[in-house]
Amino acid sequence: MNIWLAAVLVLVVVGLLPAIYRVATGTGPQRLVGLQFASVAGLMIVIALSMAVGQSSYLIVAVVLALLSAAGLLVFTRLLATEMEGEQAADDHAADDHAAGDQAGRP
Amino acid sequence: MIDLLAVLPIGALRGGVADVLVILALLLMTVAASGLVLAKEPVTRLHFLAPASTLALPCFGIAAILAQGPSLGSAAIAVAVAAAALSAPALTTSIARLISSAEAGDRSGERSG
Repeated sequence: MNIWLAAVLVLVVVGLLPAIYRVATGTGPQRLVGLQFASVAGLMIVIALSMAVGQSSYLIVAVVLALLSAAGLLVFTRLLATEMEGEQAADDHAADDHAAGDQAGRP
Repeated sequence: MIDLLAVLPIGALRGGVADVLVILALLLMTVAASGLVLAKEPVTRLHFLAPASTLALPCFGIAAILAQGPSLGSAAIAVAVAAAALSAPALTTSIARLISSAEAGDRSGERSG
């Protein structure tokens, strides 16, 4: 076993498993931390796998992963921010309705 | 001069440096992953992304480039590692902004509720 194959094994255990755990728990924004760590670990795994088997053509996967994971994470942050703004506006609207109902019922 | 360069163990030295960089990258990933799992606060967890994306990944990429030598594959590794390492701070900032706005929303919800 060369060092690159050992690195793949270590990165799967030390990199991917904690990232999957972090992606699977917590609120939406907290899961993005795990997603970014998973993309870094996945990039290192693809590079190490390419070096281990001696196939440099696998490295195109690493290039595409690096470019798309950054764009994907930005899209996720944008979607979650929009969703949170909508929930916040709905909560504010409900609180205003509740306060107006209290004032109307008061003698 | 050329004879002297041929005698020098440059290939072995390059392989040794690559191995050291791979081990360093794996140690940094271990530290970052343990912090990511053990940290309680979401913003504290974000701080453990930095050693993984800006130290471990470039170390690993340099090791792969050293082991492979100058080739098209090395250029692909350099592009991938540079793209990931340069985009990481911007992504971390946007995630931090999202987490802080979520926490602020939770605090205001508790206050009004």
